[in-house]
Amino acid sequence: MKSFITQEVYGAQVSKNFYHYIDKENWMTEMVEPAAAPWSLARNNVLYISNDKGTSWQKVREMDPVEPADTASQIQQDRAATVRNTNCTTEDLNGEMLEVLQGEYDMLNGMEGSIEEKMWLSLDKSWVPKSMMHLKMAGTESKTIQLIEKMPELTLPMPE
Amino acid sequence: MSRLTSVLSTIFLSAGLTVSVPLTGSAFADECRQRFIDVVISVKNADMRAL
Repeated sequence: MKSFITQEVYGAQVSKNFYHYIDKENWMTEMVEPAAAPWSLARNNVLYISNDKGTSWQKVREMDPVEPADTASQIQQDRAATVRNTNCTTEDLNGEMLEVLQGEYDMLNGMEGSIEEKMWLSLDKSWVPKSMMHLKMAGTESKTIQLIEKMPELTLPMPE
Repeated sequence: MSRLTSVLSTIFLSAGLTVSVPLTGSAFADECRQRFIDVVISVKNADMRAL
């Protein structure tokens, strides 16, 4: 899939990027704003960086193994216990009726603050075309909006 | 009944008709909160949104 992500750190510059995603070990961040920002690429869980818009890549490091996603982690269970201000509605997005889930929970994991999330889901539960995350911590706030397209034929660069 | 349809509570009438009515009050609030936890918090859905 391919996402267009807009992230605003309040009081700072807005950043925009395309996020190309095959799975958790294979993805690429293509920076749009700031245009000079480096791109990053993960291939088979190895992280690379490019300072020339993806023309060449330098290996940064091997990343930690991706944990299986079949059970909720302890942090997720702890966060779930703090969920509040939930709202469930439906909404028309570009002519498609979607389920909309919204709520807030504590960040935890050694950090003080809260996360407000809003997610737009297809009614068959198979797809999330839009999501919003609003982080609120002492002295800083940021909002991230992700618009997601299906890209079944997506390919990524494979550095030598 | 899936949680997706938890917004609606289905009443089966003796004549075989099905009528959907919106859940209200605490029942809806509880279902909505659980739905948010299952979908948004759960790692099972992380691949869908890649966040």
